Amino acid sequence: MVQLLLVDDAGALAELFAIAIESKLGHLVAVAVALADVGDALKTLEHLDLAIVDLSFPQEQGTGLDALAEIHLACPSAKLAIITQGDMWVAQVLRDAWELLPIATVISKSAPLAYQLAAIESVVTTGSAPVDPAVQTLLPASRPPLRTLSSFASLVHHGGHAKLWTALLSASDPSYKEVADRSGLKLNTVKNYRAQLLPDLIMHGLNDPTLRQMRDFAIRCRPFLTPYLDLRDSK
Amino acid sequence: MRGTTASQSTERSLALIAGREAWSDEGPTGSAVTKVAGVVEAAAFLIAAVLGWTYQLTAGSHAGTPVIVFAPFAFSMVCLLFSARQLLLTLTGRKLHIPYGVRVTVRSMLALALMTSAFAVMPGWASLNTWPIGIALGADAVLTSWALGWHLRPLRWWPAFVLSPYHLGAIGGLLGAATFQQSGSVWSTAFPVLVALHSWVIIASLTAWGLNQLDESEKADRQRLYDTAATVEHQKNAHWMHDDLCAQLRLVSIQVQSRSIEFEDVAQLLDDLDHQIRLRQLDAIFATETVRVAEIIQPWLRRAQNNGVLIDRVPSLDDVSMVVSTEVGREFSHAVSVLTSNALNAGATRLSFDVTRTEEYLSIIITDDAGGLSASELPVGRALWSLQQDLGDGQLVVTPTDTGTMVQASVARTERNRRGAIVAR
Repeated sequence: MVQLLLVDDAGALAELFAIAIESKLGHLVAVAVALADVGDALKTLEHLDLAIVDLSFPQEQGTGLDALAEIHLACPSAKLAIITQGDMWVAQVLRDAWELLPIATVISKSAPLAYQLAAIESVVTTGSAPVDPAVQTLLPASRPPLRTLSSFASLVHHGGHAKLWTALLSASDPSYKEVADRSGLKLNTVKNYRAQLLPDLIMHGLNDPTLRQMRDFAIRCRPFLTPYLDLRDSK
Repeated sequence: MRGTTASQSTERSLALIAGREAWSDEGPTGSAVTKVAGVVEAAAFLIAAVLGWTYQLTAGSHAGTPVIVFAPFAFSMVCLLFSARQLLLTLTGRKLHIPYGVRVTVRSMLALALMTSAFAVMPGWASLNTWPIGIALGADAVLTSWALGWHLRPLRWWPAFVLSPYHLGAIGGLLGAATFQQSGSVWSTAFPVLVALHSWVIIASLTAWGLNQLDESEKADRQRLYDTAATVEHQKNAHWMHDDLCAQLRLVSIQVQSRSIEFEDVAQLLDDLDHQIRLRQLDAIFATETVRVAEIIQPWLRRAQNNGVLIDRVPSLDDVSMVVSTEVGREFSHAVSVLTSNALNAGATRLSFDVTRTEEYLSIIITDDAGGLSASELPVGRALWSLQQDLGDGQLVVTPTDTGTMVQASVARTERNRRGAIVAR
C-alpha cells in the first residue's frame, strides 16, 4: 500500500486533507503538524513513498525546507512534494527547495481538491506532476545545474568560514562587530572571509550580499549548510 | 565587563583608520543622519582648507624650506581629497573596492600628511585654526563605527587620550626639550601643537557625541512612525475583518442555515471570498511599493483555476520577477483582471498567460478558447472597451485564433508613455 506523510502546521486542515486522500485515492497517510514531529513520524513508518510538505511554519524556528531535508536524508527514495499557499512570503524558501531537492511537484493550497488529488496520484504513479500554475510564477524556468546540495561544501573552505557562518546563524542584527565578537575572529578576518565567499555565493543567487543577507540565507538553508559546519568543527 | 587587550585596541584603531567604506556592505541608500554626518565631514575638511589659505594669505610670507612652501598645497590637496571622497560616498554611495591593507596604509599616510602640513601651514598658536579637522575626525569615526555596528563612547576619548602613552610621551618630550633647549621656542611652537591636538580630540568627541545623539533621535522618531503606521494598519485590518470578512462569512452561514442556497453554491461563495481576500492581500502589497508582476497575476490564475479552467501556460519567475511601481502595478492588475474576467465570462475552458516587457511597456497576453472577438466589436462602455481607452492607442490588441482569442494589453512603464496614454483617452 502506498504510504504518504503529510507535514502541515494547520492541523485540522491536514487531517481533513489526509482523510480525503485516504478515501479518494486509497493511500495511507500519516500526519505531522510540527517540524519536530517529522523525525518521530518517519520512525513509525515502515516505508515512505511520498512526503507532502507545507513550507510555512510561522510558530516555529524552521521552515518546510528543514522537514524536506530531513525526509530526503532519512528516505532518499521517497518522492517529495510541496503544498503551499505560494505567496511571496515563502517564495525564496520555495525556490531553494525547488533548486536543491528533487521536488516532484508543487501543489497550491488554493487549488480545487480534485486538482490536488490528481497531482498526488500523478506523482505516486508516474513520479512527477506539473507544478500548479498559480505557483509556477514563483519558480525559475530551469533549475541551475551548479546549485546542488554538495555546492554548500564550497561555502565552508575551512574552520574559519565555519566560525563565520555559525556566528551569522546566531546573530540577531549582524554587523562586523557582532560577528567578530560571536566568532572570536578579528574584524579584518571577518571581512576577508566574507570576500572569499562572495564568488561561491553567486550560484545561490546572492550577488555581493550584506552580512544580513548572508545571515538570512544561512538561516533559510541551515539544513544544507550545517553538515559542513559540523564537519569543519569536528576537524 | 570585559577589558580591552592591546591587540583588540590596535584592531579597533586600524578598523577606524580604514574608514566606513571598508565596512559598509549596504547599498547606496543610507539614513538621513548618515548623510548629515558625511556632509559634515566633507564640509569640515573644506573649511579647514579655506582657513589654511586664509591664514597663509593674511599672515604674511613665511620664508622657509621648500617643504614649508609646499605645505599649503599639500594641506589643501589632502583636505579636498578627503572632502570630495566623502561627498561622493554620501551622494552616490559608490564604493571603491580597495584591499583592506592598502586602504589602511593610504589613509594612514594621508592622515600623517594632513597633520604635518596642517601644523606647517598654521604654526604656533595659529594651529588652533585647524579646529575643523576635529569635526571631520569625529564625523569620520562615527560613520565608521555605524558601519561596523560598534557603539562609540566619545565622552571617554579625551581622558583616554590624556592617559595614552603617546600623549604622555609627547608631554615628556616637551618638558625635556624645554629643559635642555631654549624654552621660548618650545612653548611658542611645540606647546601650541599639543594644545591643538587636545582641541581636535575634544571637538571630535563632541561631534561624535552630537551625531550619535542625532542618530538615536532619528531611530526613536522612525520607531514611533513605525509604531503609528502599525497601529493604523492593525486597526484597518481589524475593521476589514469585521466589516468584510466576518460579514461575508456570516452571509454564507445564514444562507446555509436557512437552506436558501444549494450545497454546491457554498463552495462557490467561499471561492469568491477567497478571491476577495487575495485581492485585498494584493492591495496591501501595492502599498509596500515592492510589488512583483508574479504577485499581480497570481490571484487571477487562482481565480481561473477555481472556475474549473485548465491553465495551459503561465510565465516563469524569469519573466515575472520584476518589481514595478504601484501605479504601473495597479494599471497592470486592472488589465489582467479585465482580460481574465472577460475570458471567463465568455465561457473559456482553457487559458494561457504570457507576460512580455520592453523598456516602455509591460504586456499581459491572455489566450482563450472562448470563440472569436475583434477589436472593432468591443461593446462601448464595457470593461474591455474602457480598458482600451485607458491604455491608449494601439495598446490593446485583439487577435482571433483557431479556437478563440488572444488579447494583449500593454501598460506604459515610463512617465512619457503614461502621459501619451492619458492624452489618447
